[in-house]
Amino acid sequence: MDFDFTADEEAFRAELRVFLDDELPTWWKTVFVDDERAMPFTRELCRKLADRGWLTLSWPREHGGADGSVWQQAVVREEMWAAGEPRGPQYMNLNYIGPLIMRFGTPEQQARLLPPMAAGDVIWCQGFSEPEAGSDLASLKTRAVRDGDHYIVNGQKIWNSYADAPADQCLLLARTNPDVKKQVGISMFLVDMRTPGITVRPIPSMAGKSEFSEIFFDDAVIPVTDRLGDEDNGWTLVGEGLAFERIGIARYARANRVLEHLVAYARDTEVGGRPLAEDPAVRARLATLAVRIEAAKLLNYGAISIQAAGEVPAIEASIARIHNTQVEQLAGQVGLEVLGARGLLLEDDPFGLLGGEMQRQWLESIPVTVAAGSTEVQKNIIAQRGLGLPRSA
Amino acid sequence: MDLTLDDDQRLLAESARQLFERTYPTTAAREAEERPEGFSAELWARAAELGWPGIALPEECGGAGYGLLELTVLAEELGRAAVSLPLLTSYAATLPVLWSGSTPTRDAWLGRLAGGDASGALALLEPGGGSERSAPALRATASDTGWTLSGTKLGVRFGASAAVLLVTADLGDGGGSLVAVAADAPGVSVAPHRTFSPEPLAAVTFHGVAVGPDAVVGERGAAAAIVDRALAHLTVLDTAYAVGLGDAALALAVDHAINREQFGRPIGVNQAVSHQCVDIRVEVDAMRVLAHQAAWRLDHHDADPAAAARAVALANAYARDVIPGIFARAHQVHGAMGFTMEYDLQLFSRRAKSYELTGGGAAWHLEQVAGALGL
Repeated sequence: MDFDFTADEEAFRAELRVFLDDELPTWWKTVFVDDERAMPFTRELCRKLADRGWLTLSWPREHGGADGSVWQQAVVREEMWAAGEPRGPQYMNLNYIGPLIMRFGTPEQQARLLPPMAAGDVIWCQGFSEPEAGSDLASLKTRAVRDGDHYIVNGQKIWNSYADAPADQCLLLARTNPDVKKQVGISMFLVDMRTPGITVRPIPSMAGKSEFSEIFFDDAVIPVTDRLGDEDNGWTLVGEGLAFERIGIARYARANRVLEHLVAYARDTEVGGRPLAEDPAVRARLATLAVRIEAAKLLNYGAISIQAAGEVPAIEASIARIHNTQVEQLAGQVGLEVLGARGLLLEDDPFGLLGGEMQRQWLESIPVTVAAGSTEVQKNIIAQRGLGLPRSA
Repeated sequence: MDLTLDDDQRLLAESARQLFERTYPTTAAREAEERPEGFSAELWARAAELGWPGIALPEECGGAGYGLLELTVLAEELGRAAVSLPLLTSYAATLPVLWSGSTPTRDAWLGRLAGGDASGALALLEPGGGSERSAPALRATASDTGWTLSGTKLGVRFGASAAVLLVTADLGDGGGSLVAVAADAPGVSVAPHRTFSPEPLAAVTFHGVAVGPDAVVGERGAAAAIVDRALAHLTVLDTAYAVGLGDAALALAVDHAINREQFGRPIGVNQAVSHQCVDIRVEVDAMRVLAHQAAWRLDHHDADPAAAARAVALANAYARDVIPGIFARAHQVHGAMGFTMEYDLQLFSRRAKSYELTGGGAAWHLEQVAGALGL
């Protein structure tokens, strides 16, 4: 066992921090804010990361990466997520869309789609959920009907993060065979979002105007060459992709940044002539947050250790994800508790505190126990595959 | 970074698990509770043959030279099989002797403790509402040859079978001192407590027990730091033991959820049941990885003492926070069956409560975390 990063990894982290300190503008908060400057900035930053070889650090060399270790990748994820994910939507390319194409894509697809990702030039969104297919994703109805060298796609997707970024590409799930078991008749597509017949409509959320969108497909014509993997085999790819994704976000790192700011605030703020940091209730809440962050972090490291040993941490990743999503919510909750009623004030209010970070943390973390497989879905996976319990009634 | 156990550690865990499965069914755990010393002497002899009492002690004093992490791995297996042995508590009582004992004290005890020929116990708690870390009120009056101890220690774990007691006492130095006292010294009397804890606890009374300067472990008046460090090791071992308890309770709950049928189907098809099992797993896994980190950081203590102290506080605070909920869920899944003495769950849930209340509670450890944060 070894609970430390190597000196090289720590040096790399320091280099990344210097880079981010230099590059992040003072107005930058997180990728989700309603700020027209945000999305163009993430594109610019990704290109700079690509220039340094840091964007696809962990990808194999043959696909434009640097054969970096999973631990170097973990360092990148921690520093990026702690800084509000300035790579914007592109973290998805790096974490799982790219790796899916490497694993299941044709040589032509790899040659066409991976280099723009490695260059930081392309934004992907994910077209999985539908109005009638949430946790029961396999019941999705969007149809892709084969017509010679093409598929004609009709249907609606929803909760698509970054679709209005605008996204250049979409990783789409659609039904290619309605006559078989629902999991079997699904295919995965790599869709050009400029295809005629595709319309994006943003859905305002509690966290802002463009957290997510709906995508409509009206007779959109998709070439067969844009299908990823075999026809009707999309569900297998989903399982693979989501396993990469569960530990793909270093949520504990953001929660830890919030904690650092709260500790500094508690030390610097006097209430009734004594520092807030001496209030036993505040101490206990911040310490509880610290404990939960550590648990989430170490469980992520545990899952990554299994990955590093060449195995798939399926159950461990689900367990880590539950801890990580809950601790992101706890950070927002504790943050607002510590600030009290002034936590309600936005950053542009003259009496707002900590640049509005706590209300943003609270708002942005509301959906994290729902998105990409709700906590209950994770628990079903753990119950059946990890504990051997029977399928739910 | 690598959070996986190495081959030696995995083998150690597996061999311990196999030994308990083969020779220590839960009927043996029940029998052990009925014995005056509170554990199986045969199993302790076997543990000594396997070198477990000295596994984390240096080779020069008869140990195997492994670290706390290896003993932590063993501790989880002990918990999983509801094994009570003075293995962890005796190790914790050996550490002060190893670190700071006088040559005569080291010569008298280290070899025997490392070989399992004798066990030691920390005697810290006193009547009067304090904790294991409170300044001792146990009085020592100066004599021609040293001091005379008078007073009582409570809740001494495996105290009735310990050959040497590490006792905190006020030698008149304005701070507690740690003293090694042979359990058979004139004036020492030991009385087992009546307790619902399956682990044997004893009250130890000192009726004018004579101790000399060589018996003082470390500097006079400086017991607090030594005790704190020994308790850091012990609390991490106890947390690993509790990981085993939680995992065993989970196995029972899952088994029950699969085999117990109501309305014509296993109760485990209900998410209200299955998700309680999952919640146990989700928390036990976190307890384990935090305990491993704390043990590893204590093994690398000198490289970063602050990180070690922080890791210990994090592991203990988390585990003591979640353990009541883990066992509440395990009982809930079992219905009335889990409340019976016949069913095995009680072997684990009584031990878990014992764990939760020993070595500092959740609030105390949480406050240590707050301190480590710079609050």
